Amino acid sequence: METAVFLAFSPAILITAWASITRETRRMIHLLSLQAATIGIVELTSCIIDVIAGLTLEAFIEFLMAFIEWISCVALIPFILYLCMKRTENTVSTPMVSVRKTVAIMVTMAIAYLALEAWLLSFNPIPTQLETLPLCILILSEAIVVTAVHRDAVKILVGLNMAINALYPLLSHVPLVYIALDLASIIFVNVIAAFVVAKSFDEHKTLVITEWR
Amino acid sequence: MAASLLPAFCFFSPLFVAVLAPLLDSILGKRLPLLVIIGTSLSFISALLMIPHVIFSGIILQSPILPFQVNSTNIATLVGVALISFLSAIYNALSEGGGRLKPFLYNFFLLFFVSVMLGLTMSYDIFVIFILAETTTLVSIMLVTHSHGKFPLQAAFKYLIITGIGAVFVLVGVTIIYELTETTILLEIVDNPGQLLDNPKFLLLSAACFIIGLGADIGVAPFHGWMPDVYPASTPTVNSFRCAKSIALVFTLYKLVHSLYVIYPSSTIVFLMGGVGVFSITLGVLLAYRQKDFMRMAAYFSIEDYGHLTLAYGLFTPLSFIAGQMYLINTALMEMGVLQTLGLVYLRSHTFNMDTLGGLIERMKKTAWSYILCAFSLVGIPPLSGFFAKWLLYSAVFDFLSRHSSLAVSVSAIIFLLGASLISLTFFIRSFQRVFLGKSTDITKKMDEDPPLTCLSPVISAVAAILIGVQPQILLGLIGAS
Repeated sequence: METAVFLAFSPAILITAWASITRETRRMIHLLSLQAATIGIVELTSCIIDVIAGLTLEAFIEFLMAFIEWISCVALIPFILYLCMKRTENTVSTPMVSVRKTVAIMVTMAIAYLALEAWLLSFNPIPTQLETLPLCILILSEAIVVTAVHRDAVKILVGLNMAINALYPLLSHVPLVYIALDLASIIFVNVIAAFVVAKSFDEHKTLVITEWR
Repeated sequence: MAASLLPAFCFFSPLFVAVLAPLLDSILGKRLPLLVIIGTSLSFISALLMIPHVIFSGIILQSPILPFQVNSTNIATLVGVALISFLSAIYNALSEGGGRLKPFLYNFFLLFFVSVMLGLTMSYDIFVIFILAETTTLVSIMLVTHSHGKFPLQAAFKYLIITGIGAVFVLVGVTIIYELTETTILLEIVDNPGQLLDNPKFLLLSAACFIIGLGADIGVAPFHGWMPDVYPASTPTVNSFRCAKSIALVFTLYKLVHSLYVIYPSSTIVFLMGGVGVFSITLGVLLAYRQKDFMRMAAYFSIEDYGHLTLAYGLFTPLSFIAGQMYLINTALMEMGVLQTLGLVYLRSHTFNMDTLGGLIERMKKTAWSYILCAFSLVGIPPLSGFFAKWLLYSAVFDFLSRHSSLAVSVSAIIFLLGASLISLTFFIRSFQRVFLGKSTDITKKMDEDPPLTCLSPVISAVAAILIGVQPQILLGLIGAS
């Protein structure tokens, strides 16, 4: 893999890892927005270059779609979660797993990422269109850790959205219609999730899911 | 192949009626569930109309604009989804008692649910499959929240997170395939796999992603976390509709993984599917045995049954496909009967605890008989429909293992499967004894007689168990294997 690709995604890797030890819900939402921005900016930049270089309608539509997707992930979805947090509460709670253990998990994941890349490379070179796949899987795994270590419902949702954002680079060549459908389904997921969380908060007066029983 | 509007009509008819629900809310009032019956009956009729073309004339029906296709491999599952939705709609009209969602919204979601499940069964476009699978699960989550109380919300949230992560895995699998083949149509991918053949590790990775992702949606172990909570948390009607979802999702898993297996027939794919299947059977049957709550028992039994299905479909032989199809439709139909009867018990007793029930056979005769017939069919007691499904499944497993390993392994596998069925038989008989037989308890003494029409739908399931058991050609003909 090109070093440039790794460098481009390293902020997103760090932000996702940071989310697993963050205590405040509001900060988690900021991190989600930042993670989406850093992941999407690579694709967006390449679209801008295509528009400038080609000046074709096709390139412009592709840029427009990438921009809509980027802005949805950076602003719209965090905004839905922010509204959900405003409707409920901005909690400050320690994650279930200690910082030391979380760091150990993240290091293990980084090693597993290297192993995955080595496994994929052992047979054939990774096809160019999938060269970001191991990095996406690394961010995805980190995001799953984020959902697993938090007990607060909104923070868990932030983790889920970080996992979804992790796939952003893989979707860059997908036909636009599917991107639009995917985006609609992500928004639908968040609206339903916000509804469930808000109703649960009304019933239980807490966002801690272990106390929802 | 022939262009036909029937697949599109089958998909759009419940969707169109769903849109009418908010508009007709004030006019229809309490009769709004009639719309669900109309919507589901339209899709059921259109599914039935496709049978002569697909089964007798061997024509593949292709929708002109949508990526939907009905052929001999998916007609049985399509009819299965439509039939279960129709029967569940009847059950809904007779037993729905209201919930958190407003009636028009609830009925809208029921019809939307049916529509996306039908679309999922007919779709051969990997991205559309992903979107429809995701939507099916989301609508199902929304319907879980319909139930009153605190517990459904917690169950719905758990369901959302597990299946949300599952959806991410499905998307990884779909994207890998698309990037390497540059097409989204499953049949074109099989015909022209492109770089997928040169990169078998990516192919295996996407197969694993489908098994994890759709496994979470279906509820096979170890991705089943939401199942034991969602079953007791949902209304009986929603549980009944969810039986159709299992048909759509299990068949979708087969559709995707089988296509990859055709491209690269690796034993790893068989091992993954079989492994998940065996683990699901073991975990499901052992956990179902110790339950006092009948809905949790049904949930763990479903996990076991999905394990059987994953195992059957995962062998990828012609016999295992027929066994899988027969098992899938029979299981969904009988499970619907079991869940509907248990739902009727819950609606009158307001408890899931079997220890507080007893002697209900005197008050709920038809419900009790429907329950035991459907349960016996699920377990595989002859001459009920489930017997043929299990017989075919055991034959497929034995045939596969005897060709690929020793006789001892084949016999051991059959003994394992028989053992699982025997444990299932034990807990179903025990549940029947605890709920319907014995002395009446304080709760059951106060319960009313069985109203004549409420158990219409489970009675139909029970009759189907006998009918298909005596004449299995009815279902085998639909599968195209008679």
